[in-house]
Amino acid sequence: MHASADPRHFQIATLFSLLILLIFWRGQSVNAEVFCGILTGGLLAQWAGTRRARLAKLELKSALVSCLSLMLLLKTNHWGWAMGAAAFAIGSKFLFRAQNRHLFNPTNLGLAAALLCTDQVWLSHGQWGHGPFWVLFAGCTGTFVLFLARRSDVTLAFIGFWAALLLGRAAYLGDPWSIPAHSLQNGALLIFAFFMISDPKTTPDARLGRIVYAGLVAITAYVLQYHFYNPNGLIYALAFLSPVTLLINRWAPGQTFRWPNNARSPHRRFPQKVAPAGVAP
Amino acid sequence: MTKTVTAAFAVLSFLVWSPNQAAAFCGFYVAKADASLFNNASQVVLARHDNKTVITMSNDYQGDLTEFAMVVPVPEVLTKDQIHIAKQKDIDHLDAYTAPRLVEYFDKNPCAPQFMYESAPRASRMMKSTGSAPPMPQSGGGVTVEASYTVGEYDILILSAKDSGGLVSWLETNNYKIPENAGDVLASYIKQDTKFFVAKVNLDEQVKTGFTKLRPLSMAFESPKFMLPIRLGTVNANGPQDLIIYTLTKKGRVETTNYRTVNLPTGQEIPPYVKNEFKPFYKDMFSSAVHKEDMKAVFLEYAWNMGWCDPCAADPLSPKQLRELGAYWIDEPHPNDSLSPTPRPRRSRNTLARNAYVTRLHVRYTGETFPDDLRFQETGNTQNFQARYVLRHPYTGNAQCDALKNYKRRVIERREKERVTLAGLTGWDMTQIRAKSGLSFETPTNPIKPVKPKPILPWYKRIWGD
Repeated sequence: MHASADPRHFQIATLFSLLILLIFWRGQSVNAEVFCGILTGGLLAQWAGTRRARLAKLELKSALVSCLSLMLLLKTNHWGWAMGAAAFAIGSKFLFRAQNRHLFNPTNLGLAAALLCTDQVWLSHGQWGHGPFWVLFAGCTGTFVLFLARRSDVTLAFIGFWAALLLGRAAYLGDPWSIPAHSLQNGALLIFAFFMISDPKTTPDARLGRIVYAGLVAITAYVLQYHFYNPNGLIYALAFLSPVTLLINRWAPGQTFRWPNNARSPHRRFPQKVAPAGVAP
Repeated sequence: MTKTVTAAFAVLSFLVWSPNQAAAFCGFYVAKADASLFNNASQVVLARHDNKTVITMSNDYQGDLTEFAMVVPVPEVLTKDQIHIAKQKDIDHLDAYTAPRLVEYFDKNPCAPQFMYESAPRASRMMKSTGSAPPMPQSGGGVTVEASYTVGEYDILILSAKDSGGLVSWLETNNYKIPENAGDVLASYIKQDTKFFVAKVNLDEQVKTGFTKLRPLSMAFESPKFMLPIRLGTVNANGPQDLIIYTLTKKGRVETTNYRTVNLPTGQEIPPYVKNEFKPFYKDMFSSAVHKEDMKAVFLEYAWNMGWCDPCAADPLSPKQLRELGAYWIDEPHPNDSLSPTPRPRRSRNTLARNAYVTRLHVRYTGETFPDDLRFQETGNTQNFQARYVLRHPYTGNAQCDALKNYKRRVIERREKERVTLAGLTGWDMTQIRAKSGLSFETPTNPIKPVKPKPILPWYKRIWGD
């Protein structure tokens, strides 16, 4: 029973379900080499990082979440890029650390780095299509995961800021509401909101900090996407702004999130053990 | 006389409407000669690399030339050198090269070992094929005439406007007829600092060209936006419109970022009689695919390096043709670099390899299902794709051997699968499909008898068989 308390189990189940939907419902072609590359690169990096940091336990759940996310999002023709991106993504958890925490959401940083390094990697923002289904799916599954991780405020704040920006743009331009509504129903946006920016390890510790952070990410992404016409604005904005979390934590300190690795009580359904700031994960 | 802005390019928001525009300007796709397959279809070629874009709009306008006019949003004030008259035959060639195609295979004598290949008819229609400044209309009402040119048979104005009301009244004052609901869309583009490219036909120049039809217009500009404004084209549209977009890029496939890009069904085996009905097949198959996606997807019909093809529905375009269509990064053709007479259907990648990747996208849209303009990105995806359908002809010669009986049984089973596939792809009636695709050696007394699925036997009967 204690296993159910770890939100990562739900994340893995949800991401796996999304992968199945993407392949069998959305008809996305499967490149087995790329998938193998991601899994190999990611898990090897987790193993190497664990050895280097002399951690007692090889933590595969987080690595698997990152790998599944990359399998959903990253597109490339060659397994080498996939392996490199996954290895860098997971490796970043061990390489880029401050205040005893990793600075970047691994999937996000892996994608941003790969997109900046090569034109052989791309994201298919349209692959999910648009529609109420995605709102419902992400709303149900994502909210459950976030509820368990107690970080739903950052997602809700981000969606609020992003919707306000798009609706404001439509109001300024005199566009019909169907245009921002269409953008807000994009599956890619919802996956970003529910499974990427929501990473409890790389968001500010205090609720106010998380809301400010969500606003900064939304504004930066908006500028990149609508003024510089970069379709990857969301990914870049989150990667660029992740280090700002440190400053926000200083301005608005809070308790550092900790995955419930040691949750043993059958009664402990939600992560209750929250370590004070500065404690190693 | 009032010019009716023809819904020319539904595409680049080519705002231009006319009450009798029908499919007017941007051509009918996949039809022999002048027969139309998709009504209200437009064709646009987008060549893009490093923020530099060349857009070529095909022009099949067939109405009164004095009625023709079009308005296209453009990101900057274009100089005369940035506007060019393209060749319709190049667009037709690109259409032919990228068109969905049939491939035929012929079974060999079943009494002698094995089969193979043949030709590739395509769904496309078969190949068919600067002057002085006009009197300058006056600026006013918040509208500035930034430039005025005559290019080929077109009189062109580049306008900027402060507000949509001023632009609409300016256009109306200057005898352009604008749809009622265009103001809001124009206002949105004006706030995004868009200029407007307005073209009408200069009849004197048109006579001088010697062409009976209007020629395609190309525009070259630099902009970080990789998009096609389709919103204006939906303002007064009567029902869905078809748009075929050919992109020429250096790296790889192009896909839409704000809509789903879906591969058209491909590779299926269908009954050989479809060879004579390929156009209705393709039309209904596309409609069926659109219906399955609730008209919310953009369909990929072809993606290939322009250096080769297999099988080829038409020869790849020459470097000169590609440059003409805006692929400026392609080197000037070498004098000896004419197309070699390599016979179709296969072109070697070694003889024609060059840095041009063509993507053909086909979208059917309305304002409801595609509320926003089409936005694109070039990807590193160089995986080839073609919409291709396979016809397998059974062996019809004389043969006598024990294997013949088995062969005929297999062909009958195969044919039934092909019929089911065809019905699934097109929604055609199964009875009619059976009537048209009967095999000479199917039971003559009951040639269209439906094949009943085998009953599912209890597991123990499947063990012992009785």
